[in-house]
Amino acid sequence: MKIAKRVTAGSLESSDVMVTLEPADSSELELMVDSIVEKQFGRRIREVATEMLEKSGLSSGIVRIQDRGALECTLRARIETAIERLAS
Amino acid sequence: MSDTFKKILEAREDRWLRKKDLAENYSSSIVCLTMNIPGPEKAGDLSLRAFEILVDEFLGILEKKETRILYQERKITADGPEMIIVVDADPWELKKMGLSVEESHILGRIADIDVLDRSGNPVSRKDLGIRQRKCLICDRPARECAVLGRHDRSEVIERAMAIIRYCSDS
Repeated sequence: MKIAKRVTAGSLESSDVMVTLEPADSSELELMVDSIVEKQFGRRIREVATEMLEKSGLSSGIVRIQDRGALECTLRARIETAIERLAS
Repeated sequence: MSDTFKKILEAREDRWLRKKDLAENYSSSIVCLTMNIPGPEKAGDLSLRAFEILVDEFLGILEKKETRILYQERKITADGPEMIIVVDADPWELKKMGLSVEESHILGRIADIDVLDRSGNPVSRKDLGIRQRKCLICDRPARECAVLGRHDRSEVIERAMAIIRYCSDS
């Protein structure tokens, strides 16, 4: 399934994360992560995002994650909300 | 996802969107003061008391520098108390004022003073070349401990409450 419109969930406040999904011309799903704790958690953020995106069935578009030190439960909730907003 | 957690996340997103709107409508800097207290209980008596003290402190600094406030709102949401102000001043200067409270006031460690520039972009410590905040329990960066869950949550909450009690008694 393609990302057909641009949606966001979350914020750029401290301890939060902003998840943006947007359409792209390519046939791939591109994941971009920017985190203030990249060194320690960059890999974990990518793992969580990749796992959730695979489950969602999204196959093409751009996924941007701007992390301001969110807990994993917050990251999961924001990705979930963003995916739900694609359908609404 | 618990209902409380969901409400906290919604409150944060809602606040973020309001700040972005205000930055756009006024084309001016935004300062947002919130409490940085872990756990589901965000608006307890102690938290509200600390918030009032911090608001007075920050507004006092603005007044001293004769900075004009164009708009002000205060609210208590699921995420706790918050103050948003629109200010006619340089965002970097505002961030420095915020940092001075965060770093030197006794309650500064449990305050979050976020600044957006007139385009709605956050001004961060990193942009100013200032180190990340320290954890309430140990000296490591706070976000690292929080994300890793390095300390027992009740210990962190108790430490935050102890700081407020100490401050309101003295």
